[in-house]
Amino acid sequence: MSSRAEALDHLVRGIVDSPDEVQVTEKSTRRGPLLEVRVGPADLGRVIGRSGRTARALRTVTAALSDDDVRVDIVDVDRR
Amino acid sequence: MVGFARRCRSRALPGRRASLSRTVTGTLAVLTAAALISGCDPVGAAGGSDAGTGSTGPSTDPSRTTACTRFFGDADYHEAPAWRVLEGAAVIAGTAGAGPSDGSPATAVASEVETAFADAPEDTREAAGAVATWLRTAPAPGEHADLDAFAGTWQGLAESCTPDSTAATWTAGHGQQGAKPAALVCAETFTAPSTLSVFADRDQVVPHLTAIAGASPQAVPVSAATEVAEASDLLTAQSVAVDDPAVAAALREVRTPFQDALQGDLDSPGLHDPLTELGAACTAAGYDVPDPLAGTDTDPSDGGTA
Repeated sequence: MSSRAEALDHLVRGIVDSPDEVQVTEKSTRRGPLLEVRVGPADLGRVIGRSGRTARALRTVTAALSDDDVRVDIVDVDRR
Repeated sequence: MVGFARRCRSRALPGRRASLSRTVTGTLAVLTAAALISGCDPVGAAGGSDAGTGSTGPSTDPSRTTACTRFFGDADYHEAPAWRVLEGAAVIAGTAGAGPSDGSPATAVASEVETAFADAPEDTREAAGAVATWLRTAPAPGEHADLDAFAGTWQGLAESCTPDSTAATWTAGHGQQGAKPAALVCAETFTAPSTLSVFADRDQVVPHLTAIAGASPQAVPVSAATEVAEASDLLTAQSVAVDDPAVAAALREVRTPFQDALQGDLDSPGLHDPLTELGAACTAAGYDVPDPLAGTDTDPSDGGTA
């Protein structure tokens, strides 16, 4: 796991109720690197936060740790 | 605030993270603090839910219940005075020269807030007064208006109306995941101003979504990466919060092109059909949406902007 993925993993674990269900996966996509964050279903709203503020803060921190344009996706377990 | 400490707690770094370099660890400490400061505000409202954080007990004052439910539009959410106030705040924040002055729309909605809570208990009147004060005295109209400060006053009013008003309870971040009334979710999507969402203006959410992903097929603008991610978050938060499975499923369909774009696929099939489905699901759930694409540009020749 890259240091930025590890950092994101740490931050998310500090937010959720079920840290053992947190998974951060780094992927390479056509548009560049992508960090996928998976959490327990009950923690999804918490990670996104009111008006998306928590997710926005996570993206800001991750971007600050990165030299490239990494994106962060909060993955819903119901994703098709 | 209920649950604040729980949401903002921090954990010690587990042992397996000891391999992180000292530099990274130090940076993390600073950034963790920054993130928690930024991210540990109350959650809920249009873009998230505060799962597991129960609201306070029942209100003991009928005058508060009456004022709060009327103001926040419970329980049908078709006509909420709160939205006129949010629109006024968006106008102040988004339009240079539209700031507070006697006779301005902002002043009118400030008076509306005070009137709405004139018979409420003192603490709720004070919370409403803080909202009205911001509307009247926001120091720098236009792009410099402090919408975060407004959000703080709005949060205070919502807290004061919790649990009397369901909408206020969600705004304050005390809703139970999976229990948000479909009518409220639908109203926040199709009718309410986006003032306190990521889009931060007076328009509804739907036109913003179609501006990014199109009503008809179009390419999602590469420049809209931030909006794509945050729109996806917003739709995810609503889909896990709502109490109606059909509305939740329809929200996930609307979200699909945003998630595909995050994965690198910028070819959006357009939101016409998913939004039509969502409108039907909302109507079936009791919130009538006669034209789900109202306010959107459905001309396929328009490549869309974000």
